[in-house]
Amino acid sequence: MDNNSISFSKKGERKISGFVAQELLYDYVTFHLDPERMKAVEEYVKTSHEAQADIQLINDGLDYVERLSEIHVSDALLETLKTPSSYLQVLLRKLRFEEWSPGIKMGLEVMIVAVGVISISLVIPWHKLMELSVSKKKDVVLTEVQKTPMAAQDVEVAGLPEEATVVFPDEGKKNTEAPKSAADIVAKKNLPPPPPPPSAVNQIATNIPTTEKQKSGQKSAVAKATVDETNSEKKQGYLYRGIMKVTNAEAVSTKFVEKINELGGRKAGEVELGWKKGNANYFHFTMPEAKYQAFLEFTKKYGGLSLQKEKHDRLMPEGIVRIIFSLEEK
Amino acid sequence: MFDTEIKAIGLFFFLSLLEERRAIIAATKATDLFYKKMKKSPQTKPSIVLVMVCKQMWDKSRGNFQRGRPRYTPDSGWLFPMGLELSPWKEFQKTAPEDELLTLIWSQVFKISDADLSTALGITEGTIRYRIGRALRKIGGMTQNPSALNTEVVRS
Repeated sequence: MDNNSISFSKKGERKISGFVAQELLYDYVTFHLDPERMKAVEEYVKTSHEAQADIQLINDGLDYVERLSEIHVSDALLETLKTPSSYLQVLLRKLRFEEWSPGIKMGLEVMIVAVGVISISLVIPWHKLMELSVSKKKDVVLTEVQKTPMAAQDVEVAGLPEEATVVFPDEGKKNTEAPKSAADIVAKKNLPPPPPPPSAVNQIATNIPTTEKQKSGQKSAVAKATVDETNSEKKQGYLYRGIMKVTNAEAVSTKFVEKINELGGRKAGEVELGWKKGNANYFHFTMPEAKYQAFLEFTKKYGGLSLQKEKHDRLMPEGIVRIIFSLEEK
Repeated sequence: MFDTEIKAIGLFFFLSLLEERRAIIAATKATDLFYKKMKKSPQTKPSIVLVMVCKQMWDKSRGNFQRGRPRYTPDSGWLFPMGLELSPWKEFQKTAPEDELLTLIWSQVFKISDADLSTALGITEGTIRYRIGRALRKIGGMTQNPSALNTEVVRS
């Protein structure tokens, strides 16, 4: 059937309603209507102020968007848009990181930094570093001691009994006496002298007259060499340590004190032999090495004392042992 | 290659979002998608693919922002012609229905034909023209007195 033969009205006119005409205004302005419809809309527009106003709005709108189409994208932005995204960028986009609140972002950053610091601190071999620092400390020369000539001059070789001459810095004696007594033993036994405590060294240094200091200054190189040699030949010190459990510890402690004194033992440290320490009696003493076995034999009467030989920084004179043990109630 | 289309993508997201940071993010994603689609089906018209990827990325982005809060700087990468007053567009972007906003950009700013839009969006050309007609009436009304539109740009 041919559409052109259809009559839309009695007069053969193709009239359109105002509603339809309003909706066709854009097509009318942009010439998208067939001639018949164009004519029909045109007739409507002539009589309708609303349609005329709408056409004005559409034309204004077209002019405005024409200006908008003149906005350009810069080459720099174009390159940004064309740059392929990295994995990190893709990840951040997927996580919508940009849209997170600043507080959450900051919290996450702090957490990442904290995890990083903890990881690094766990990875670093601290024990090796500590060993390195300790070994370095051993090599540091804290002071240069010029005691060899002084000690040699002041020493009286004979006189005192062997055990009585041994004095240690922690035995409560005056510091000035310590190097003299130690040197005495050294002279007698031909042993290298034990290192005096720093306080004793300071005392000696203050007692030296100015002229002697000058002389000793001239000999400092020699003295330093002597000290270095002594240090290099330094032996390892040892300490015997143990715990003994007995019945009636108080009474046994008294027996132990008597026996230690009998064997030539002397208290070391600040406290007396058999010092009450909680439920135990504390013994810290030195004694001749020759009597060590006799002491152990004695302890067997009360069950036996097992002593562990431990390495210790303090070097004892030869023939002298240092023992620490506690006597505890069973 | 496809520089015109990439620029159009950049401009589309600027005009539709009016937010510099989000526009760049969305446009970058859309550009990646555009290249992938063109590589996958090179026989498809670039304008159709352009509309498809823009619509796809718009649908993903629209829930994450609120219209009517422009955030951009003059040196943000979009170069405006002298004397262009953006306040009518800001008002239109804030109030217009989504379909009218997008169709107006594609059709009148990028000059994509109604047939291509119809193919890309899967709707009739009549619907597209109807949307454009309504959008033009609105934007035309907003251009009558642009100084009266109180839309401030938030400088980021």
